[in-house]
Amino acid sequence: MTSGNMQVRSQTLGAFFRRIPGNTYAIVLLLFVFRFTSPEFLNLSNLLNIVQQGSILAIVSIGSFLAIVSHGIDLSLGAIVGLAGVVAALAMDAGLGVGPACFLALLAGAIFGAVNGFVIARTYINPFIVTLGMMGIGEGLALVLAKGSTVSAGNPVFKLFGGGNLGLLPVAALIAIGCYFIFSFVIKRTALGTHIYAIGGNEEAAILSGINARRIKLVVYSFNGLLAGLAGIVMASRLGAANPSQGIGIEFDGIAAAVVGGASLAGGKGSVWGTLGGAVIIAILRNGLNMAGLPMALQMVILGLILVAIVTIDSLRS
Amino acid sequence: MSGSEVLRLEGIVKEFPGVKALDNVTFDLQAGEVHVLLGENGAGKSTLMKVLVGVYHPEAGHIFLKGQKVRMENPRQAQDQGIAIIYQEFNLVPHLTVAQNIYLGREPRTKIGLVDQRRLKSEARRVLDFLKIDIDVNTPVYTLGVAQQQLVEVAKALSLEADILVMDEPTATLSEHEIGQLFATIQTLKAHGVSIIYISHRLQEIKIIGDRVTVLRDGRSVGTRAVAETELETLIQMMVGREIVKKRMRKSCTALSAEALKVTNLNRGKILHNINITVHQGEIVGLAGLVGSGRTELARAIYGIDRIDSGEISIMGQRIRHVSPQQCIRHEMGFLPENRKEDGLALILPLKDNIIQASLRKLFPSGILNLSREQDIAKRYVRELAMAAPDVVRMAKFLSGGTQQKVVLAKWLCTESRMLIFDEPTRGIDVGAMEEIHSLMNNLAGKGVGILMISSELPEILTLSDRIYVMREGTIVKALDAPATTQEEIIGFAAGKKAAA
Amino acid sequence: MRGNFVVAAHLLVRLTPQFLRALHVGASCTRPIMGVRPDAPTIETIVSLILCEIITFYWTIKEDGVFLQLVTKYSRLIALLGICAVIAILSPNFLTFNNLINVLRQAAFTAIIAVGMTLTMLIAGIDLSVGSVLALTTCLAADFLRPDMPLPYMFLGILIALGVGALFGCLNGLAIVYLRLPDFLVTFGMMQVARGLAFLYMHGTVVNGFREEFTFWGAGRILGVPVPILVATVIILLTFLLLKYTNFGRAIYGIGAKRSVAIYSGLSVPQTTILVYAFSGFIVSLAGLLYIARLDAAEAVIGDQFVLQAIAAAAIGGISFDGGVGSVLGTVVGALILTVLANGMNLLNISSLWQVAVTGAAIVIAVILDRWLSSKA
Repeated sequence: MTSGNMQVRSQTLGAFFRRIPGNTYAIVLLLFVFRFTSPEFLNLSNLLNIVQQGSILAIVSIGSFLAIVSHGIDLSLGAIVGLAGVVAALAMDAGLGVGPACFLALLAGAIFGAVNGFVIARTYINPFIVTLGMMGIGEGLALVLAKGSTVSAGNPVFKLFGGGNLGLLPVAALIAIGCYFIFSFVIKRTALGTHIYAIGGNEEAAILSGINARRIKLVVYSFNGLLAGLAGIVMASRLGAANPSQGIGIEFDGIAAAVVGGASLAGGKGSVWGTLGGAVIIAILRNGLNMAGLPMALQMVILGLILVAIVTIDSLRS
Repeated sequence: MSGSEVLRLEGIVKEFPGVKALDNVTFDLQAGEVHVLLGENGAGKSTLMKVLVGVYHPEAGHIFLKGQKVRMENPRQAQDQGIAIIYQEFNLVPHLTVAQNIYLGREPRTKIGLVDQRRLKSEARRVLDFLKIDIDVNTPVYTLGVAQQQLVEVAKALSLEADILVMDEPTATLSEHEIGQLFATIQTLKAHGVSIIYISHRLQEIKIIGDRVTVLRDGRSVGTRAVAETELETLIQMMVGREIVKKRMRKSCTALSAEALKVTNLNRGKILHNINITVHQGEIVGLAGLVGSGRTELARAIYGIDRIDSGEISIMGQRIRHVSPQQCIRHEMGFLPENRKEDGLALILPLKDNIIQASLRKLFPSGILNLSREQDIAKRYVRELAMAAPDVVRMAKFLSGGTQQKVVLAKWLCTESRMLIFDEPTRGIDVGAMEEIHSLMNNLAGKGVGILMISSELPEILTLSDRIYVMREGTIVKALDAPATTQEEIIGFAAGKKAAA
Repeated sequence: MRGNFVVAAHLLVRLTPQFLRALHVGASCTRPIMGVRPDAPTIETIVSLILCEIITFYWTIKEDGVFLQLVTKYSRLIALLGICAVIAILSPNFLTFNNLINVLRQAAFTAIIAVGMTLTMLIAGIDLSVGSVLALTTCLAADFLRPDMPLPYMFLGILIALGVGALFGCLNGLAIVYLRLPDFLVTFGMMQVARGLAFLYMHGTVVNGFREEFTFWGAGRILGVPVPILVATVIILLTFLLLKYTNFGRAIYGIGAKRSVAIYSGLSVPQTTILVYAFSGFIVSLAGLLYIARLDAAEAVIGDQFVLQAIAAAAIGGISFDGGVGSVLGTVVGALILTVLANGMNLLNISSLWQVAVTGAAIVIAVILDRWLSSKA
């Protein structure tokens, strides 16, 4: 049994490190480069910053990863992040405790995701357009609930999620890592995990083998909603306020993270821990470009180009 | 291996609109035998198997499993009853491991419902060891070669505790060595008591692996023989029947000396070797060969869909340097593809749109359409080809198979090409429409159009062609003069019984 | 087909007098219509009249499936009219000349961009970069449009905008065709790049105040009709003709319907694809120019909302995401539906925050309904 454990651990670490020229090489290279462009880059406080930002992206990326592996895509994640944050903040405003408020937020996210999954599974309409529409609905709902402005979430316990530390480690990072362990477990040890890869890799073969593709898709998108909800809670907690538009755009970072981590947009392949590596890389990129003092505009351009380059290289290689 | 009867199909009748695919077919399978199902394309082999596993429901007849009458409602039920089928296109998930693929959907669980990884791997290992297959259960399936993937499929079938295994053209894509491996595996299965229905038309292999053989022809069972006691010639004759005194449609050869198409030294990787073909104007050249011989690949290479490594292609006497469909059409050559729903016509477009799609530049050189002219042209072809279409704006997907094929035909007639490649022109079409299309092709040749016709229907090849090229394993093995040859001779070359000349 | 014309003519003849009077009433009345002027027809009367006509129509043409077919064919138009009717009942100010002109003018911008999006969707692609390219091209042109620049420079600015728009569209197309990248990825990257370049160029500044000759195109009127509406109509018409009556249009439908078939038919897939994306970029720049002409200002942040709106308009208008199906007129109706909904929400004092949600919901409902209706056909 111990050898099995070691094998599992080396598999996950191996997947993390073995990916292409290597996520590790990329990370090390980036750290190196950014250290030159800005002296404070490798400061502890900045690194903690990266970790906290990256944790939020990391959580969302699991959702992107699951959707992509199942040969779908989820563009509504950013909207759910905003929505969940607003729900949590409003719930606390209304007098609910932190626990129930977070529960409501997660529930909202999960229900939203379930609607996505239901429509996609039942009607086989392209997930792109369904989640695009739902993104609008989610963003709109968040805006309406928050009455167009930011809702404060000043509860000190709540702020621990995003801003607190357990010893040296930020709570946000712990939450993210926890999610990764959970989902890595699901992928590797449950039939559901295998079946998600199956419907993404060869849906016909999966159905012939008796796998209920509809149910799996419903589950995948519900998980997405749940994860985005969690990310929304962490983000609102970190900022001390829930901004309905806080998550806009994160779904694309999530897609990039999953692809860097080994997933293919055609579905059926990818690695959970690789996705974490991808999220880390993107978080470092964003932070590094910021710290280098480049104008926002240029940052956007560079980041956009890098993301496209990443996916290009990936698709050219396959 | 003697023993009890495990399967019996009795009096199976299966009809489709306009066509009787199976006519009172009876087939039995003994325990532990390899029973070969032999016949040309369209003879009914795969239809019979689809009836067996419940994809089709027969109009008449019964299925008996171990003496018990059963109704096969769907493939899942067939699987539960112990019948496993391995198709030509494998049903594997590329990025999952061998073990995961073998037990897909039936993963062994621990007490709390998680996948029991240890048992998954050990069970998979057990099956592979039993079949003496040396593949690591942890390898992702996409890294395996075709032959090994097939072995994984066999292992999957065995893991289903199948008593009956149907293998559809299993050796189509295997090398000699891999075929040997497969045959060894089959022997192991036999020893274990598994009965195998082996669909093939590779005569040499049948002699090696088969115990009995049943020949199907035109949906009827011609007879069942013991392989050891039967000559290959006899089998061939059973496959093609008596020399059919079908009147040759091509009474006189209208071929001119001018060349419509000339292919020289065409090579494409491992798929096509040293192809030399000539089609004259006004001539119909048949391209015969068994499934997997490379005929469609050759046509696609000539038409410019696939890239070639070397070779020259000349259309109407003009050498074409960078072949592409656009170029071919410009030089008056067209191509009716084999798979009409995928490549022949766009199902969601109206009939009239499909008909003019390849002729846009020719009909409307200014770039501006004339809709009433489009209507007239479409209606003209509907009339000339006697299409069963109420109006020309109907979406193609609502038309019958025969009518769809006529639309494809109309599309290329509209281009007024002088060289046409037909890939299986009458596949899936009823007899009436078939005759019409044949007579049309004959007329076209009479008007000076050069035709290269790929067909798996030997009667069709014999009745329509002036000359015949026989292909086998990516190369032309023989050129025959159509009036002088027989179906047996063609199959002989196609199946490799005779040496290439 | 003849039946449709008969019914349409019937409805038109019956309703025009009332409709005109309702307009007149609405424009001059300061209190809610309902019950104030008993001799003038109320909105309810008109709506019930329409309903009666529909029911009569149904009974007289009660053949199998014909009704359903017609409903399917004109479903979007029916939906638009239905929404208009509902809003008209709920708010007296909807059916006024001014308001309707406003609606049309708003819809004009969305419609132009949506027309470009229609082409990319017909070819089974998508262009996410429209908002950013709009911002970039208008920013590049902005300085040339100022009143203190000589007149020829204004034309130069316009040319630059259109040219750069087409260029970026070309780049999109080239990447999609030759790098074989998924369309949403390429255009997403372009979205970032164009937006970033716009920010870089503007340095956060805003250019205010353009030449009269230029702002006329956005804010002026010809014969009482705002110019953007006229421009949009011309563009829609031209695109409609392009799609329906040219080889190029057929190639677009052919490639979108089934790419493999188009290849066999000798259609030039690379060429057509690149041209379509170039067209999308060009038309977005055109819309952008009209937009800043109306705003009389240009800055780097504009245009974000247009992407979703354009996709929504096309999706609601029946353009299939998989390509090959749909008409540009449907897109126009889709753009109108979106604009009418927004306008209705404004009139009914519904918070504008709902608009994003409503747009999203409209997309989802439209595609589901479309799927449902086509499965019944």
